[in-house]
Amino acid sequence: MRFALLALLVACSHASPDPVPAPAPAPAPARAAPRSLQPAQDLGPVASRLAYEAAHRPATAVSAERVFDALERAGISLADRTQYAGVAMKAAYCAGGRSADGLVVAICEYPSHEAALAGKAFMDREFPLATAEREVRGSTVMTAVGASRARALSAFQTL
Amino acid sequence: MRLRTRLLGGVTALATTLAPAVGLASSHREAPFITKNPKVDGTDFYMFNSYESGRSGYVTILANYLPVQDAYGGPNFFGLDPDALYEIHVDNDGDAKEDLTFQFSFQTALASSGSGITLPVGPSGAAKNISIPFATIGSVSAGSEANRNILDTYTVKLIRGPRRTGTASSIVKAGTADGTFAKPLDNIGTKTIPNYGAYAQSFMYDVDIPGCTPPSGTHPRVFVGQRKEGFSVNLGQIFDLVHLDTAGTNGVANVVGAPDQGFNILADKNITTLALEVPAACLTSASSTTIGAWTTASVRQARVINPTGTFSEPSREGGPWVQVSRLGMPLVNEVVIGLADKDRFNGSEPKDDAQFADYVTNPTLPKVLGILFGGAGVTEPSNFPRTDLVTAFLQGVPGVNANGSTAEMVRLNTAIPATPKGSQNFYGAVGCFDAPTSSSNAVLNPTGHTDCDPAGFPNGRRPGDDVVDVAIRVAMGALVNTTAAPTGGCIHAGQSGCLPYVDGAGVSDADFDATFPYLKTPLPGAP
Repeated sequence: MRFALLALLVACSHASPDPVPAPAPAPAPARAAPRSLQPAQDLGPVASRLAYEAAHRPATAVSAERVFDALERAGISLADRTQYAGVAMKAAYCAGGRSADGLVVAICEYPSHEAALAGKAFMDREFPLATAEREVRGSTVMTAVGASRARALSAFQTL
Repeated sequence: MRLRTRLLGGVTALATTLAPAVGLASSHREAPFITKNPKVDGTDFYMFNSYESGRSGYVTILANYLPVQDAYGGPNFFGLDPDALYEIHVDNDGDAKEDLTFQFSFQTALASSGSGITLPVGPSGAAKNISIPFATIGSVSAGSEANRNILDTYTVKLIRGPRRTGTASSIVKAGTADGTFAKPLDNIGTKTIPNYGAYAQSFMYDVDIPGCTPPSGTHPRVFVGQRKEGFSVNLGQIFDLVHLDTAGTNGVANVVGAPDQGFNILADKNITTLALEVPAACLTSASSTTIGAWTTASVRQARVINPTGTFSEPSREGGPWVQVSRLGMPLVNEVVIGLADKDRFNGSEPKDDAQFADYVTNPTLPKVLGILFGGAGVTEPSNFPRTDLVTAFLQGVPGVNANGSTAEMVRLNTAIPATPKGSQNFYGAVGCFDAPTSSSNAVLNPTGHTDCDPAGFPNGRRPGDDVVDVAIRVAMGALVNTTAAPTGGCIHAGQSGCLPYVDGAGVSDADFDATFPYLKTPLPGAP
């Protein structure tokens, strides 16, 4: 019965004219040039932000790759390497990973030694963890979390 | 290369999880299809042992619909859908199937027997009666609604057994056979409704529920009407790196800062609440004091738009009922279920939740937080599959509110006494656990902690429970040993070896009334 009513209603309806073709889409506005690194200000989508940071890494002597290599030489293999949002730590670029025994390592690259010291202070203040230690080498900060963090920090200090 | 692969995978997960966060709330506009149907969009679901004085032995259930209401949204404001079914389901034997369903059906009509209030307009003797364009022609108050132009009523049925084939009976006004209840106007403004609190109070009904004997001298209660939005959330900023700042500057929240940083983006919104207060004994079975519950909304499968639409018949609906909204635990369809499955989740039933298990055992939210804050060493827990989340959100805590099923619903042990307003911990029952150690997961120890509030989330959910902070902390491994979750969320104040994740939008029992329906009087459309 209900469907009969529905059919009746449809039959009684007036035919609608064909819809007017949609106007051509307006051209996309020109993309603004990337701004200098500033936390929390018009950073764009996260994925774009990560890509931007990967493409604009500072010239640092202690790069994340060098740290990872040093850790490998020390017998610490990070099987789960991931890029992190550097801007959240006021850094230009961050990456890290986790070893099979649970050691967590994060490397953040900064434009200068002073910026790295400020970044470490920021992380120490905002992310205090009893099982974490942080060190600065040049313009790079390492965070090591877990029981075996001393080995990682030792490897970091050789750079 | 390996790093690049991980990055791409992470970004994919991030995008999937970020999309629903745009909805900015517990379950407001969380799935693509439901955004087309706001009147049947369930937003929050609360169930708790009543803490109003004199209401011991009762359970309060609140189902909120029609999200993100700006109080000034006239002239039609925020009526519910007369062509939909709004239901609250209760499973009392742990099989993830409804044993009781409270089914709300709404009717809307114009005054004057459907023609609406008119005004004579024109010269004397030749005036025409013209239908007014507003919801009222003058002020209204408790018991005085002659000026009301839109009349909203509803009925409530209790269905025992399956929702569509069980035995239905009508809930009626106490001591009568009258099963038609009136719904108040929304809070149009102070000129139309000078005392909205008293006005709304007149729509709270003592009721009789067939087959239910209430505690002596009391009656169950029903209310449907607009309330001030009670959910408090700042998810958008937390997960949207566009506005992220861990220092809590630049107008955005600090993710490890104070619980309340003033970032409740729903603070100026209203909501529509379906409220029930039912004796616990009428909800439980003989086998358990724990019940599970959730709310759904269903519409007819077919809708044909009336080309000559009228107030009473803008369209015609037909076919079987189809469930389009489902809500139990907060944030599930918001930040747990993937975008591809959100509409399917809204149409699903708890008994079939195995199909969504991967979203819980391998959740994306901790991965996202790891990407955002990994530079400080923050990392997702490594205990896959995440059985801790299965326990907390899909099964209930053994000995507290587990009911034997593995399914998404709010679980409440009705035997645990309510905590009165003023004494509630907005982090609820998570404070009842010993903090995890390097070798041990968190252990339930209700008598060992002064901040233990076993009457709170996730043992049920009260309006004042800060479920966002709890969910983030638990998702980051608050209950997991610190070897697997070295940067887990804190469950006690002053706890070391953890991080106090917050969204910066605080909530507590102080933000709500001490009486049914607990949610505050809605904000007026005009001061």
